[in-house]
Amino acid sequence: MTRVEIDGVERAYGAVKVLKGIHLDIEPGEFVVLLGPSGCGKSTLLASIAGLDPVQGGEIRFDGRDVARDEPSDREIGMVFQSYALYPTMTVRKNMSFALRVAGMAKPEIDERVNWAAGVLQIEPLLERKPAALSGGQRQRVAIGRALVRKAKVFLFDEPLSNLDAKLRGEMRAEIKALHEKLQTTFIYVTHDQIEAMTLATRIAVMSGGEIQQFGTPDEIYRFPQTRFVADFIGAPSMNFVDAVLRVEGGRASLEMGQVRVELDDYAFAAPPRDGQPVIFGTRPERITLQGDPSPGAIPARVTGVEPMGADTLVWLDTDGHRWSARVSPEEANALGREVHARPDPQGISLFEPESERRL
Amino acid sequence: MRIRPQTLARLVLVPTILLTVIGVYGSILWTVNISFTSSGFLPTGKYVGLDRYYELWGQARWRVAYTNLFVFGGLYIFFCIGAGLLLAIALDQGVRGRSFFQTIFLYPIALSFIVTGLAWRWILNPTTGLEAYVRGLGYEGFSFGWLSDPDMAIFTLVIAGVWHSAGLMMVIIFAGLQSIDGEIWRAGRVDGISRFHMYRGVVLPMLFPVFVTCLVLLAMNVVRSYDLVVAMTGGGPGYSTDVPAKYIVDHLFDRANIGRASAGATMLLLTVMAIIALSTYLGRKETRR
Ligand SMILES: Nc1ncnc2c1ncn2[C@@H]1O[C@H](COP(=O)(O)OP(=O)(O)OP(=O)(O)O)[C@@H](O)[C@H]1O
Ligand SMILES: [Mg+2]
Repeated sequence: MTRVEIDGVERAYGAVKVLKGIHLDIEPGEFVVLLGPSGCGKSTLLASIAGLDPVQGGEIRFDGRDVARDEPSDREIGMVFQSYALYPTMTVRKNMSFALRVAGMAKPEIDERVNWAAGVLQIEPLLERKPAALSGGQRQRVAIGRALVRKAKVFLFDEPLSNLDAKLRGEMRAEIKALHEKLQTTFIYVTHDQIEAMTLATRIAVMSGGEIQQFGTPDEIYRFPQTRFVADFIGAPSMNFVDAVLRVEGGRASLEMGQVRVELDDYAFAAPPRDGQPVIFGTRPERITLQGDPSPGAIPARVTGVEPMGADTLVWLDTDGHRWSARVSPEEANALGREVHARPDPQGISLFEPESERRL
Repeated sequence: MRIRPQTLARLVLVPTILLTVIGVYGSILWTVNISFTSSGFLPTGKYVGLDRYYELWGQARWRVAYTNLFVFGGLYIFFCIGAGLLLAIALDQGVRGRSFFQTIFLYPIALSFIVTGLAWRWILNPTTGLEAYVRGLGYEGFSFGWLSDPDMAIFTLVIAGVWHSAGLMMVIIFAGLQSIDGEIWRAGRVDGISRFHMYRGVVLPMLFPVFVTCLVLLAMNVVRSYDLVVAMTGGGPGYSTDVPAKYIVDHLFDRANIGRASAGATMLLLTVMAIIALSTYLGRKETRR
């Protein structure tokens, strides 16, 4: 169990800043997922934590000790790569024991550790095979095993499941989660798959353009996105947005969108709202109910497409030029005409400041 | 009647197959046949059984030539791959001016063995080359007379050969090193494995097929090593640097003894076949392991 503190880490390739002063405070034994679009610097941050890429500024502390200038091997980490990076000419057993043999560990101890790791990962029957004779999922296990035998204090994963097919990915996801529960070690895991992030993480760090946009539990990230980017990036289909104006009358806040007014009695404002303030209004597809008749607080819309997904149905809407989606039950979807009214659930509203795009 | 594509393909290949069967395998059989006759200037002799082979092995010159094949071949291959490997690793580690060194070391391969041999003959000639130069610098006692020393002359061939071919080995091995996935190196760094152990334990074993390619290329140079010897030492002093290819050509054309030349050629063929069989066997064992 190691606390990992990342304090103002900076990294640039020439003039291009890839990490712009990252701060993350990771509790001992946490499972932190770094999530973000391609090219946002996730791998670079992970490589900096591993010590594979030098950082140009800031500190990385493991249990209070600054390791930012240490060699990767001195950081007591284990790392699993996207391409597995197994040593192809060695058997599984040799792959797992190579580092220990080079370090000059006694043979009985090596055997004990390899057998223990093979037991944890259930790869005992594969020990004498070479990587070429393994499936993707088995290779992944061996790659994890190689980190396990070294009794790493922090485990780093760089998109470990992206080379697997969907079914196997689901299974391995569950196994990695079980492994974390068993080992109780600190895990840092890079992915651009939201489902992976949501299901695995104790906390998610959403990254964009070399900055951390939000660091919080999956629930916080989903329900209370702190920036418009996070709101847009998390969730599929993403949040629906529209420009609106705030009205404050007699201590009660409401939202004005053309003719429509939405009451905001339950909204927890970060700063006191001002009357006439422009905002971006956002609501998730499953927080919308569709009805045929107009009513106060419902936004008129035209149905442009219906996508049955089995458990529920996605209805695509055109609300005065904005493309929205609503997730409704199949029965509700069948009852809809072309012209509908979309009523957002007051509990599921997010408001953003148009300039800074931060949550209000 | 329609001609099936397969039939057509076979028809197109017929001339090539005929040419190979007659030109290559026919000639081999013919040579083997001659080696059992008493033929001299023309292939007309009577069958004399294995007499030509007894003659051949009874002759000191052939035994020297045959031994030289292994002395020269072994050292040449070892040092070419060794030097090529070290240079390639140096490049792989990111020496400054990589393309400059690559060009310099690759340059000799553009020269034929004849030119290489002549150049080194001048360099190693005591009165024109290295020895004269060093003495000119003031080291009067310096002498380097390997070229005219029957015991050492064969090593001058090795020097020239390695100079000629090591650059090519460097380029081939370097290409192999560059093809290693960077994540393997990163995994090694996380595992705390030194570069030396990474090369020895992981990277070089991964390059096994590359080394086989190098070996085959160099072995072909060894078997047909004729031009280098002719240009550099002419087989001398005496016949101390003779090689089978030169022995065979001399007996074919100068000594009008095609019977014995054929016996020598057949021995060379058998040697090559034995080595190929051995290496295939070892290669199979390696991949199965
Ligand atoms: N060697 C390099 N030289 C210059 N720029 C680089 C280099 N390596 C990465 N970058 C840049 O740094 C940025 C972050 O790269 P990084 O690999 O961390 O992205 P990522 O978030 O892991 O993306 P992905 O999801 O595609 O793996 C990218 O914009 C990339 O172009
Ligand atoms: Mg990446």
